[in-house]
Amino acid sequence: MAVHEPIERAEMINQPRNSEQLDEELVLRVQQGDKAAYDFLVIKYQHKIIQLVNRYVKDPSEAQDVAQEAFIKAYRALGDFRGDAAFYTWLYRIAINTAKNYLILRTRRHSNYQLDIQELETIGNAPQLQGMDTPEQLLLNEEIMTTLNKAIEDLPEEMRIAFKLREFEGSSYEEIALAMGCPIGTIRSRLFRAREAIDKQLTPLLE
Amino acid sequence: MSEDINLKISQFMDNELEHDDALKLLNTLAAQPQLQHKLNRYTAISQALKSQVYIDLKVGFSENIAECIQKELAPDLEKPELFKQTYHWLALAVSLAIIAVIVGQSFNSQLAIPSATIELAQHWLPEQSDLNKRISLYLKEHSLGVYAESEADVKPFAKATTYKQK
Repeated sequence: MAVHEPIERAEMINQPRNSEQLDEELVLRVQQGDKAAYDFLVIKYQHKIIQLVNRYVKDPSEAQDVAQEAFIKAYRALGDFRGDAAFYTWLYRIAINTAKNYLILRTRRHSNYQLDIQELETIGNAPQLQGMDTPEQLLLNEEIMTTLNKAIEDLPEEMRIAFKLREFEGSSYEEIALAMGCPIGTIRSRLFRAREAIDKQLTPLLE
Repeated sequence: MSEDINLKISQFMDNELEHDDALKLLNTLAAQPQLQHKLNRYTAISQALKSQVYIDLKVGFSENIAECIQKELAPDLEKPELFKQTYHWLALAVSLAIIAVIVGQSFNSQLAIPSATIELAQHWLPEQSDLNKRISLYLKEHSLGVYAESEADVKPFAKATTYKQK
């Protein structure tokens, strides 16, 4: 079982009601023929799905192609989606199956060794190698992660605490507000400013 | 204005934006790809902290999907529903037909059991032949052999007519 899968599963379970309701409405609109509503679902979940697929498919570029395929497959199957599970849970399964199928096909085409499903499941055990096809990519990722961690540590204390509670503990705005003894609006603002500050520090590396 | 939208993007990413505001934001994001870029950056940071891998999204990722989807037929909820309803009726009709065939076959096989039929015939036929013999005897004794011997001749009728005239 992949190391990061439990985190992802926990995210699926903790999907707030607000988000699920929005998904339900968007799914219904797509089922009624509104293709633009599907763009919203793609915008909402594209990054999560790419990250998920990337645990199976090592090359980030290939992972994005596979994620695109997963989104298209999900669109084709959306007529059968009855909402028994949350949309993201359903999409998550499609993405994993698409990634596994892709790897099986690629293995059949290019290699002499047998890569079975159990091996695919364990791929996520080496996160530092995920998405890293070349030493340059590995180096860039290391640099980004160092900058990212430093940017978090450089944040003013109140911002850093709010950010860590949100990102590492998965706390809601309400929970953070209670823990820090301040209004939700302040937490909202602190998180936004923290993200802006981190993004600013990363920009030179990404452009 | 831009800061306000970015604040909402941050909130949306955390699933803390109210339903209507989230829909409005999605409309804005779909219309302005540069804002999608901001969402992608925030999300990439968040995901990188969990997976230790920073993934920069390809330009045009969602646009490519949208393009492919434009070529697809809309996933219709009604069609499968109708199909399923038709399918249920069809399944019911087929089941009834199968039951009818099975019942028919078992009825025929009961009729086809020779022992019952033969037994019935054995009981019935001798009685029938006894009766026939007695009737034939009676008819002969009363000069009505034409009926007993099945001689469908005009003569006996003529005889009968003559007899009546006498």
